[in-house]
Amino acid sequence: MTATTTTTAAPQAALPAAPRIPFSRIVSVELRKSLDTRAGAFLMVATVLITLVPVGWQLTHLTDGVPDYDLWVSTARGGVVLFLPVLGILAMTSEWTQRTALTTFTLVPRRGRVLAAKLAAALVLGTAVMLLVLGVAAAALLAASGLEGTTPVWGDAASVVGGSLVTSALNVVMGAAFGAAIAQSAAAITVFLVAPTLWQVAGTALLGDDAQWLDVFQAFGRLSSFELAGHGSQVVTSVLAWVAVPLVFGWVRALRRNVS
Amino acid sequence: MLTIESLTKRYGRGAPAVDDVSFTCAAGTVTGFLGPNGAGKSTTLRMLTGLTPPTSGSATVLGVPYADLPNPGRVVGVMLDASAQHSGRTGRETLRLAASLLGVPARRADEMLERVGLAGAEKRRVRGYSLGMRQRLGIATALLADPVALVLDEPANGLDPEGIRWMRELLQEFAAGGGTVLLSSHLLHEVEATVDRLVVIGAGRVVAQGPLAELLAGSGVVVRATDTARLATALRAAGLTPLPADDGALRVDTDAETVGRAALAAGVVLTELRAADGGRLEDLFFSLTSAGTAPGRTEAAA
Repeated sequence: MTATTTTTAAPQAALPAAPRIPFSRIVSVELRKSLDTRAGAFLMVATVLITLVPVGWQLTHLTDGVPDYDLWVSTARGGVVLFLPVLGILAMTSEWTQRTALTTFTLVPRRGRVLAAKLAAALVLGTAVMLLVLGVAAAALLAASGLEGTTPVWGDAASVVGGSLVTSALNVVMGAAFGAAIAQSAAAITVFLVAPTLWQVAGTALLGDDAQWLDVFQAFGRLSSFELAGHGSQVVTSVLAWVAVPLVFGWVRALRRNVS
Repeated sequence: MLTIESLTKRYGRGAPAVDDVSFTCAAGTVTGFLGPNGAGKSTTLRMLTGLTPPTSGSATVLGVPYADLPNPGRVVGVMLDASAQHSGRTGRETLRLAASLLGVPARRADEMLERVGLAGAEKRRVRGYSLGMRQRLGIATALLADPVALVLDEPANGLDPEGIRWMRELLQEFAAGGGTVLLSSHLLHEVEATVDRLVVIGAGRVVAQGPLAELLAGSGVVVRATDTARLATALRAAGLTPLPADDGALRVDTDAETVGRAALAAGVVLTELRAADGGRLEDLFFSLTSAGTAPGRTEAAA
């Protein structure tokens, strides 16, 4: 099947004409990889349950009237926000934990493309999860209004939706940054859950109000509520310290790391 | 087809893991890359496939560095570690993922499962696969996009004798179709019936390479005597270098007449004197690698 030419001294088979692997294909493969194992499926089922259960409870306990849309969204996404960073973390760590990096980087030797695809896939997944949350909250509002015979109050739904999607993206990226920097699933999840919270307590005790400069969750809150006025530089420093620095560190290391 | 030129890898300030290794693999041939564990085989193959940057030298596939190939899996099928598969995926899902990344139809995955004899185990998770089954799955992945070359690190590891025969037929068939095969092994008997050419590496350096038949022809004679020590002394006195072989025999890189005359001159009684044939390849392997191995390293001792 190999065509041989004899233009030079040694017969050389022709290089098969295959186009470069499109980035979109790497993203879709990464997306599939995050869902096709038991762990991935479990994470998705858990995410759906953690959305539905509190909403269901709220629906059956409408003692104080029908909440507005933003409250339904808060109820639906409360637990999900804890799962979103895990999506980002696992996207970056699972290849190393499962030793499949060798196979992946053999098929796509430009590691930066694989890492970017992993981040993109985690963002797509996080957005899908948040859209589910927003949809469930909307359905719950309509159902509750129907049950109680009231008019649904949507409030500023656009900024609720926008803010939720921003929250989702920020949490996924921060998770990915921790996953890239630590590269070991369990350790990365633990550090992610402990370190920023610990800083919220310790930082305030040590630095007082100056701790805001490094309070990443406050920064996320401001970003997702679109209230940056007067706090822009605090938000930037917090995100740099907790997201950009670990992400760049982990990324560069993954590019150079010996794959075993 | 596969060209490795002066490839060197140095970790820290110690002796290089791979030291100025050069060889080529032509289309239509099976090349065995042979050496004891730790000789630098895997490091060389990882540099060839763009996983480890070389300290110096180059490795190309059809003149192009592996990492610069637009879709390398379509040109070179690679299996460096059969365990580098997610234990929670089924064999079929593992192949379908790779097929999707390579851009070949999903049915190729099922065809390859059939080809490597895993069709019955396709729905089992890789966790439950034996090492031999993982090797077959790795080979299926390598063959998926119908490449023109195969690079396999220790593919016979974990295969039973029937599996080794299967692999031999598969690789020879692949080469007969114009493909290029490079496979490594630390066990000569695994590959001697499979390969056309051998590249033997010890302590990071190529100590011998060439067509199998040529390497065998240069392997000299095997001689036994009632008094091995006196025979060895006599051979050394004649300017020869006897090397220990099995059961007190000596292997000498010369012809039978020279050995016979040296023995006659010293009055040593010979009990056997014959050409080192194919069965003596093990001695060749041992002598070549131990000659190139740093002092104090005695693995691969028979």
